[in-house]
Amino acid sequence: MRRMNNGSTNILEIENLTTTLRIPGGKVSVVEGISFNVKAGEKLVIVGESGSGKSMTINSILQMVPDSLIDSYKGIIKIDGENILEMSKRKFKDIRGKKISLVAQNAMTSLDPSYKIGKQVMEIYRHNHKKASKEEAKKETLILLDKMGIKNPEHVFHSYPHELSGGLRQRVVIAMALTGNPKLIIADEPTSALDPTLQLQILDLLNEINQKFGTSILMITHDFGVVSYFADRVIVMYAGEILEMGTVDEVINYPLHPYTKGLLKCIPDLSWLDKEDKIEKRKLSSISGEVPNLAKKLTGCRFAPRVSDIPEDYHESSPKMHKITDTHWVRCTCYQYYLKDSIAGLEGVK
Amino acid sequence: MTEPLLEVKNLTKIYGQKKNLLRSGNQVLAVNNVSFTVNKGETFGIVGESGSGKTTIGRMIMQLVNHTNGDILYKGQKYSEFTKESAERFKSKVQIIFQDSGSAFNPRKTIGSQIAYPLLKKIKDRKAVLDEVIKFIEMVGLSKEMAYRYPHELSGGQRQRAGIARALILKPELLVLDEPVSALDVSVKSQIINLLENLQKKYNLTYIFIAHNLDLVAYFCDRIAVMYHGEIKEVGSTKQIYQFPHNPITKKLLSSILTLDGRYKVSN
Repeated sequence: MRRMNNGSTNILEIENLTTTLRIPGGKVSVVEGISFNVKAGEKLVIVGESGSGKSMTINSILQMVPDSLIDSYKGIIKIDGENILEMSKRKFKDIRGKKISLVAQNAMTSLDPSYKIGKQVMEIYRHNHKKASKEEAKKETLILLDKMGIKNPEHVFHSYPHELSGGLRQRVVIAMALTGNPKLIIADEPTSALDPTLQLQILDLLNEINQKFGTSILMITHDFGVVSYFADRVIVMYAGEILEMGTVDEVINYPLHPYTKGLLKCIPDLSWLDKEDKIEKRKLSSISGEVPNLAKKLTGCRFAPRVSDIPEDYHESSPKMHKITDTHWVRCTCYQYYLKDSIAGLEGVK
Repeated sequence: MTEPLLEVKNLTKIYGQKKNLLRSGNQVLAVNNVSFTVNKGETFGIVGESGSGKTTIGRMIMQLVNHTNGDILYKGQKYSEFTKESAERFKSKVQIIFQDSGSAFNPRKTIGSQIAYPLLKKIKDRKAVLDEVIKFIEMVGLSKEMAYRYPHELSGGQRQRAGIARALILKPELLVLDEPVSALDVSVKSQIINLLENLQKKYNLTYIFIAHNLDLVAYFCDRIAVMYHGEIKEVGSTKQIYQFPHNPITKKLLSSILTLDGRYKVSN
């Protein structure tokens, strides 16, 4: 069954989500007060370095944080209009797989090495379609594998995970995620373990799924190249908070937060290669310092310790999200420092 | 400037053993008849997909694995003709930095003692060794307390810096960088690349940079070899390779670079 893509409804709504974990000697909020939506048919990408809380965000959405670690979730996570934080575990089981599903970073962790691919995909299929017979499941699995651009689905069906290449394995995992015909696929760095050529193929496949089936995709990455190639909207996360959010054009071409700017400058500039004469290549810039330890109490703008060129008083004591345009949001007013020479304040940005 | 430091001639590596009574004789041709020259002071990049044999070449240069056929010449001297003394000297002049800094250090020893280890063979005065270790630790941008920490107490970027300090302490001439930054975060990645660039200027180092992300290679390398299935398909200066790629493999690799304006456009 194909769903209609009507662009305005939200598949996923997150409001003021705070995820707190128990650690030896205290508690730590790995995700703090984040809010965002994923619209139907939208490709949203979360960028951030390790320790920025991007993985914990999706683990919270999928309720995959181990019970032994979790202290509390605060806020609202609505999937297709239902708040999953107020839902029984049993009911949530039906949502996971049918409405949202996960494509993990390392395909080997999603596949059991001791069972054949076919058996594993069929198992998920029959979990999501309780009435399906074995024959039906096999037929559907083969069709699904074929749709994933696997040239010889019958052969892959009868192979063990280790017999497949990394790219094929990732395609199988995506097929598994699609068995329940979900409305939202959450992809946790689906390509960072792959070669650049394979990365492109997998991104193209996800793009195709998005267009053909209207499936929304929430992807996590640390690569801005992937963002510009794949995403409609992008969220920049840092130390458990959203620092900037906007359309790809807004964030890449008009970044406001110093952290976003810094990340973008870390990408090597290739334009010097096209120039005929020998011009000096731009030096690769970097962001000094490291992602803060969340176990320590953080106050004020969390990125402030890593920027030296902005005076202290430009940072807010308790940073809020500031609206720049309807889609472009940025946390902390420190970005205004760079704008002070242009038209004063926010007006200059629009 | 164009004095060759390392020459690789018709290098071949076959993994696995010949068929005999007990062995089925599964052989893998990892590197097939590869030749290239690395000049003094340059950064030579080796790129290719995983399984193309680029790491195997790095390991053969380091003598971590023996080559099956062909020759590697360091300053004109063949590896196979090394005497005991020249082999010793060679080992202090050629060092490697691994991709996974987590497994490159012994978890049970402090960072400082592991950086000091190669030096202890040469200098007996422990105070002098300690001073030297601190000097190198500070040079790669770590604080000297790091010398007393264990590998797991350091972040990935810090460990990679310690790896660089360990590789440099014997004052080598050639460094094999086996994907030194691919496990690191974006901002830390450029910190390490900048550090490597500065050190190259300071010590006149020669780098062999093995990588699969081509945007960084374009930035960092003077010359590039493109590998595919154990063979070198194309060698040239960075500009030649990126502006006028000849081999379809090179074109395929280049067009998979994702820049901020979408895919890298390959000219034909």
